[in-house]
Amino acid sequence: MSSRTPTWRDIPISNLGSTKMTVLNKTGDWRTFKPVVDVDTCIQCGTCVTFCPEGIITMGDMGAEIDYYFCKGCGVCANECPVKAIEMVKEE
Amino acid sequence: MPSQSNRDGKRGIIGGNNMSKRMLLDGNHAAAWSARLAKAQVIPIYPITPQTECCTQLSEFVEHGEMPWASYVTPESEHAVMGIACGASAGGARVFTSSAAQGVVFMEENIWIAAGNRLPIVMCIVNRAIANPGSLRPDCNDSLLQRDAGWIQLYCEDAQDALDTGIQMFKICEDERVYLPGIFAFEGYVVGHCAIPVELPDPEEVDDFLPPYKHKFISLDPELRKYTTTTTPRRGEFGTERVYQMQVAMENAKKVIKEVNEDYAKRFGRKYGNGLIEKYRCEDADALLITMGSITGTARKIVDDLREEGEPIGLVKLRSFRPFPTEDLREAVKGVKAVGFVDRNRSPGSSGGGIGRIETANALYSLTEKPLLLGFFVGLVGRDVMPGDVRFIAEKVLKAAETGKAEKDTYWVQLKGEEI
Repeated sequence: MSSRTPTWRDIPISNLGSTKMTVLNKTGDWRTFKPVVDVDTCIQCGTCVTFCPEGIITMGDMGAEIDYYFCKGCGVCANECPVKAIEMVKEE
Repeated sequence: MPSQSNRDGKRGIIGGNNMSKRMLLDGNHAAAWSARLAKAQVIPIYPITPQTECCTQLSEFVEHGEMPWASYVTPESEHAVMGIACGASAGGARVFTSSAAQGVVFMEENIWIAAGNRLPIVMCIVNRAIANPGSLRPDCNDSLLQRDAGWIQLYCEDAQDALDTGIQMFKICEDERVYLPGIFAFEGYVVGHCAIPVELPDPEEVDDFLPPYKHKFISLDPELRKYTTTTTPRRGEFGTERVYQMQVAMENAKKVIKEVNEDYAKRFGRKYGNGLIEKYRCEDADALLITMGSITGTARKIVDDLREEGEPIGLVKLRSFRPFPTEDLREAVKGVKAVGFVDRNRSPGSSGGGIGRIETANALYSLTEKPLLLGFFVGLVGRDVMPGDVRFIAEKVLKAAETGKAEKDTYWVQLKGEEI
């Protein structure tokens, strides 16, 4: 994103299904608990990617990667992980 | 109303398949046919008088397999109806629904969500007076209540108008310059239950006119892996900009409605003025009536009568209420001495008159040479509007045009116990 302030021409017309609206409104600081992935335990099954309600987990070479700019700390990934590789840690 | 689907399961309709045909339809059934011809895919709907026949006709279409592409959903309330409509539209389906009076009021919250999220849902409102004082019979406050929500609003005069406007509405709303939901409205009973011969266009030609719905900016398709959120921007960072985008879309809609009206006329041979307004015998008129919906038909007759008597009066049918055709009205009143707005709606304590008069006054205010503007309340809470009432209105406007002076800003036509 450029440093220029976005105008009405730049922003998406709807809250729904658009990446830009969230990109413009980083929501990661809403979090109380942060999911932390233990890459040694992670078996890269993709369960957390599927379950994440915000769609912000991707599967990297080492294991699940979480976009902390947008993760709201709901804990669904940690709950669903079959090998308990994700731990919810209280934000400082 | 003859059923389109015979009880023995045969669904033969006059003229056979893939042909345009003529049927005896009332407004409700015409609206249902417009949804069928437009291939609406999700129909969340809740019955309410006087819209129930639209609901039951669509139910019959789906049940008899005549709309195999459609999902007919029966939620627990109108509020849920509009919620489901929003979800289905966001998910990529063409959505049709319909309601009236208390049902529309109950939907209110989600009506604003639909517009703000730019979901091109099409809703047919069969006008009925909101309680209280309520009635099963029509006035137009239920649809006019949505004036600030960001929905396009077109008003229909008869069942044929309802069918054509219903089909056109999908095309207008789904245009990427617009992407707003749309209401097409007509008065219950007077249009809703009054059957006239209606020309139904050939389904294949409608398909050609109206390609399948695909929103350019919204997708909840999980394959696309987009972030989805319904969160309101915090501190309203982009709220003003989003509202301005809707204003731009409304301005675009004026152009789109005209284009669609032209295109439709070329394909199907029926045209509604320029799409936004329809002028009738306005040449050299000193006095002008402005009407919405079914009163237009009565007013045409009265204008014919008065023209025969040599009176310089014309008629403008306001087809589009949102976007409000400001420029076209300014053009239409050039050289006119007095304008009368026939309002079948209420707004107690308003700046003067009904909602139509308020909007018209605003549209004409900046003109240096403007006509006198008279407002007429008529047909409130479902009272019948008779030719005599419209003639009374027309004569008042003619008198104002002649004398250059309006006795009153607002007339309560039909009011018992008041000398007018």
